[in-house]
Amino acid sequence: MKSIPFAGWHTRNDLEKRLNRNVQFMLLGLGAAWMIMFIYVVLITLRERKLRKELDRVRRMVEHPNK
Amino acid sequence: MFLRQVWTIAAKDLHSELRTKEAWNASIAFSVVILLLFSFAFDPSSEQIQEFSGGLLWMTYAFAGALVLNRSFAREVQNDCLDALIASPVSSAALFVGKALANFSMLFAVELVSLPVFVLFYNVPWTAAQIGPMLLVLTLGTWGLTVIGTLFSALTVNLRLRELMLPTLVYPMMIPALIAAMTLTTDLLAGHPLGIGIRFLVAFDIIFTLLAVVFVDTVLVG
Amino acid sequence: MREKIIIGLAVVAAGLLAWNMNTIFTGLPDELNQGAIYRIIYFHVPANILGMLGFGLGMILSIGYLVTKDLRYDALAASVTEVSLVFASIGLATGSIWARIIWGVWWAWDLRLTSWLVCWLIFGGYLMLRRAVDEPIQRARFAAVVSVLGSVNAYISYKSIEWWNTQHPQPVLSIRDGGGMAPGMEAPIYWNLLALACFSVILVMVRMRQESFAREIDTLRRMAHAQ
Repeated sequence: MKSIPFAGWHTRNDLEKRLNRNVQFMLLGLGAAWMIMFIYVVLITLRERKLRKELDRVRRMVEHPNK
Repeated sequence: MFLRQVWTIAAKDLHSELRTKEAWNASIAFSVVILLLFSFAFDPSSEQIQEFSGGLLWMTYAFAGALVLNRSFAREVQNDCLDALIASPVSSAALFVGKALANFSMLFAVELVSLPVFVLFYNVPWTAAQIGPMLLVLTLGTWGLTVIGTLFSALTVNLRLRELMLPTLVYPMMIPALIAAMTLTTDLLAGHPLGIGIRFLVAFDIIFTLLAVVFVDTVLVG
Repeated sequence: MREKIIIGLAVVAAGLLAWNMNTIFTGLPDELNQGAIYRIIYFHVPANILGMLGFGLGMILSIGYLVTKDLRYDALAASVTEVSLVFASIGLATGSIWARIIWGVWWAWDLRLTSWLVCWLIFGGYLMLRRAVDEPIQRARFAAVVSVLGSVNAYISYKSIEWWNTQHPQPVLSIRDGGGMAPGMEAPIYWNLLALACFSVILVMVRMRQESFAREIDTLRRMAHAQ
């Protein structure tokens, strides 16, 4: 005889899965916010480095015009 | 004086366009092609077409309009015509309003021609009572598109990436007006009366016309 | 002096954030209907507030440039707008993730979301435009015009939940005469806002210095070519 699975078990499992997904997405959301910020800071840092290099290069070009 | 200048500029643009009919032909052809292509994408006979009929129509107008609006200031670049216009006693505001009126007339004419094509292809049921409100929506929506398109045409005319920057800047700006016009058109074609979107469209038109007239001098001359 | 300000602000921001995160995760209960996911609000709302305020500030600075013709206004406008764009991106991303749980979809075409996305596109275009124009004065002029026009859309987005029935929730914060939140849940929003605001000031300062580097490079390059 096939046993009918107890309906209560399904509900509890469902609820747990939903709660887990809830927490997962919350972490995903907070992670996304920080990730975007982090990527921007990295981009800024790279740009700063590039600008400083260019600035040094142009300064040298001005100081030694016949190089 | 201002009105005479506006009229001169508008007439000049319309004359030069009527002579060659380049933008006119391109726009009409483009709008018919878009309507045709969309009819393959969406089955025109289905009931659901009612829901996005307005959207389809205004997408067509936005794309076809870009052709007209792009040329607006671009055609002045050859032979230094733009410099001559700026140097002339015509004020920048008059130049802008004149060009905007010319663009509006051309775009409106394109729309009037493609509207029956649209009604035909998509079996849109219509009644005589809808014509008046429809024309009102067309006028307000087209003016919104024209004002923004003409201002940005002036802005991007000297950029080296003009073909890229104009759509990138113009389309997002047009979206509020497009959404309002689309919703109003869909409502109209479904048989409902005009909603409060009209007020938004009027406000949009007024605000952006004022802003454009104020800024066109900055954009052209500096 | 400048370094001290930056470090000071960074310490304040980090401290506030750490303390606030502690409150949020240990002090507050889960929300009744939403569960744990509502905590995204503590980044979603401050990021969007900063984005909108930033676009508005960028507009004021752009008008300042047009009136005074001082390029420093333009540099500040560009920096503020760029940082605001980052916060707008954070707002859009967090909102989308939140929506996936609450509404079941990643995106909805309601007017608040659409108008905010339009703002994002316009100010993204602003940054693209700045890169497309080489001449600094012309660049400042064009950017100023785009900034003012784009801010109209930012205002539309701000008011959209009041003017229309949107899928996005109606005003909730008590400062906007909203429905209010459960006790203790609203304050961390403002603390996070303060922390992120400190952080944004740091970013703007860094960006401003990069702008001044770029200006110096321009000037020196011109001198070098003149020799």
